[in-house]
Amino acid sequence: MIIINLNIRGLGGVTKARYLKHFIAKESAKFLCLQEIKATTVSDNRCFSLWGDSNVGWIHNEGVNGAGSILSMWHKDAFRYDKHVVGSGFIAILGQHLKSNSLCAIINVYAACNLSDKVALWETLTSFKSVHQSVAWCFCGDFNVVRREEE
Amino acid sequence: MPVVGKKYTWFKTNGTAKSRLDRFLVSEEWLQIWSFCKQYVQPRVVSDHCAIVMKSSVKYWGPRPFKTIDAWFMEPGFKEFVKEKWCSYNVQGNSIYRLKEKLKLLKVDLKDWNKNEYGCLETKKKQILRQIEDLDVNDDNNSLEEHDKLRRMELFSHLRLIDKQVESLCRQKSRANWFKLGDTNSKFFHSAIRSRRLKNEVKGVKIDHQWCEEPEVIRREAKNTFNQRFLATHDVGVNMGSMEFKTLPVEVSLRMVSSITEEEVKEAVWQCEGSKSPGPDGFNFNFIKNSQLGIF
Repeated sequence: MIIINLNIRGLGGVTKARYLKHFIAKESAKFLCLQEIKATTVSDNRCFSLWGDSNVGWIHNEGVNGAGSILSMWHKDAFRYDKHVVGSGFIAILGQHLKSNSLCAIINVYAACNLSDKVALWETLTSFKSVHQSVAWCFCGDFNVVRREEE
Repeated sequence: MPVVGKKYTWFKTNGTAKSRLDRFLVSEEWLQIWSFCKQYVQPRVVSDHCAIVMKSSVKYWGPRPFKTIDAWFMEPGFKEFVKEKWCSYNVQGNSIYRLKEKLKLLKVDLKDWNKNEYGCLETKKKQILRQIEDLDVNDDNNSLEEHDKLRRMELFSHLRLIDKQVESLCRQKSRANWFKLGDTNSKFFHSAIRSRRLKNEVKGVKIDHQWCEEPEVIRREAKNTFNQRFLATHDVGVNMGSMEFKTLPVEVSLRMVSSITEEEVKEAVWQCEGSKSPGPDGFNFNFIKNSQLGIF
């Protein structure tokens, strides 16, 4: 399973789209998590052109007025989408990795800067994880926080 | 999860701050499926954040080096086997050379024994469970003969032994020394083993700004590097000038140069924690202590 994670700071412009497309192809990524795309709407065509072909599924979370909007995309041949949950600051996608035939959940996280929102986000995520115990979990994203001082 | 590439994923444009804000967090179950996951921090191109790629790749590093296993000593007859083999080797030379050669020969025999006699614990466990099941089914249909009942009790004690061995092996692999044997916590042990493997794996080498992960290349590069190190001809002598050093009293300095007694060696060995990692020969101190080979 190859996952790319990037806080892109706005999806506009040809350069960024070209970079992403090239990058996805180079790594042969199966899953892409973008944060801060700064767009209130995302269309099928937009995603197809980003990914390079139309064999892609996507979920968009527009956040509040486009601030903190995040986008998850996946390759339909590698990952079978089952369901998704969208909340404030995250997109959780449950599905099946087809090659290893295993259930997994990939959560795209974009944590807010202020502490109380962060705490709320973590609480939602932990309770969510405890409901689905047996699946493999992967959280990725911009957590806007460090674990230790040196980070 | 190990990070390859840069340490930070976000840089303030004016260069006043940098941080590691972006990361991957995975669960225990994730590592069971993709055990060698690594996160690669990519060059920063379109944003003030770097892209991170999570990839898992399993590399074949060649045959695993030999290591003694503590659980072997639980197997009945193992000590006798080692002793018998040890006495059968006939090596000439001085004592250090004899010891080295004998350990080498023993290693070959132990490998053989481990493969052919000791075998896979999981398979053995399954076999025993099946035999017990068969006897139980017989017991259901009609009463068992006396020797079958005895046999079943034997099987159960064997099963308990194997469980203990599995636990000991897990413990040794996880190197969780703070746990005593008997604190069965296999989930913890397994996760400790996995994280140790992840941490200890050589992720790759950078040769002339080129990141490289192929075991073959890494091996060659490591050999070259150390070759060059050891071939260095420049003497890094330090001239201390006319510095005054403190001196030891005469009786203490004499003790420093006196020959080492056998008792002292023995004490030193016995003081060593047995489960500490072995040297390149693969024999840990538990083996040396338990086998009673008459080395000491």
